[in-house]
Amino acid sequence: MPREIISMSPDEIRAFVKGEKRLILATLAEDGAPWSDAAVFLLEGDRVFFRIPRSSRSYRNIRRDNRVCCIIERGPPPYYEIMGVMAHGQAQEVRDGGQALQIAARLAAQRDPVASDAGDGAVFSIPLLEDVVSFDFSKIQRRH
Amino acid sequence: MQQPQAVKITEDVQEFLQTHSRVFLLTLRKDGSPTGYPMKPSYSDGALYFNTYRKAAKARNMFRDSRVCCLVTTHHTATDFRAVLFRGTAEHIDWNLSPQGSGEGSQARLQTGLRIIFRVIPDVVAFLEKVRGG
Repeated sequence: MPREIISMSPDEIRAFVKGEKRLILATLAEDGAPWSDAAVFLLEGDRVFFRIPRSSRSYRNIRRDNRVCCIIERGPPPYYEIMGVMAHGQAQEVRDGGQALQIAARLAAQRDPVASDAGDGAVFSIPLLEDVVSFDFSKIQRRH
Repeated sequence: MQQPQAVKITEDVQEFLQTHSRVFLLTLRKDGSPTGYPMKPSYSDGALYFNTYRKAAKARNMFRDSRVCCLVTTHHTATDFRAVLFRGTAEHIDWNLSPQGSGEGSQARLQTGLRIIFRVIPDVVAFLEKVRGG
């Protein structure tokens, strides 16, 4: 099925992502192979902000090579309600700035999905819409 | 061809893999950057089996660079998130070598070669919290 038929518009992507709280994070390991993690996130001004522990391998990966992919997905089942967004970009660490620090504080208040005691966390952001793939299976016309 | 069960998979991880099929398959794009796809593979004998269109981007990525990382997770609605990291190498295998269920609903497309099966042989399999800092 051609991807454009089931992809979402920018407004649909924003609406979907705003309703979710957790993402799957893809980073690059030392040897260039993919590595995976999970993180809390929020959307602010068309940027995805996510928080990961500084002690994690993902944090070290991003510091070495900041190319990442954030996968936000709902489902299955049911099959025809599956929705997802894969946003690619170069992660920038939030270090200063009033609004950015407020976002970091909001994320720090959320429980890390992987460890209850995740320790010191770093906040990164990537653009949501610059290099994005999306799908909404409710748009599938020909159903089996 | 490499045989499954290249690494020891503990009983609790085995049980998780047998009862959860929500999987994020991470591959490398042409420029070496990471990307990912939600999938629903089969788990059998220490390996994950993915059924995909031959022309799909994920298939092209795995033919170009077979290194993958999979995250097998609890359901989207689960209050307590848990995940198993399953890192390894993907290989294209003959469709009739895949476990029953991998080709469900698409047997004809597997026979014509429109769809194909990739098997992922792991070198790391563990609950995410155990390997996160590793």
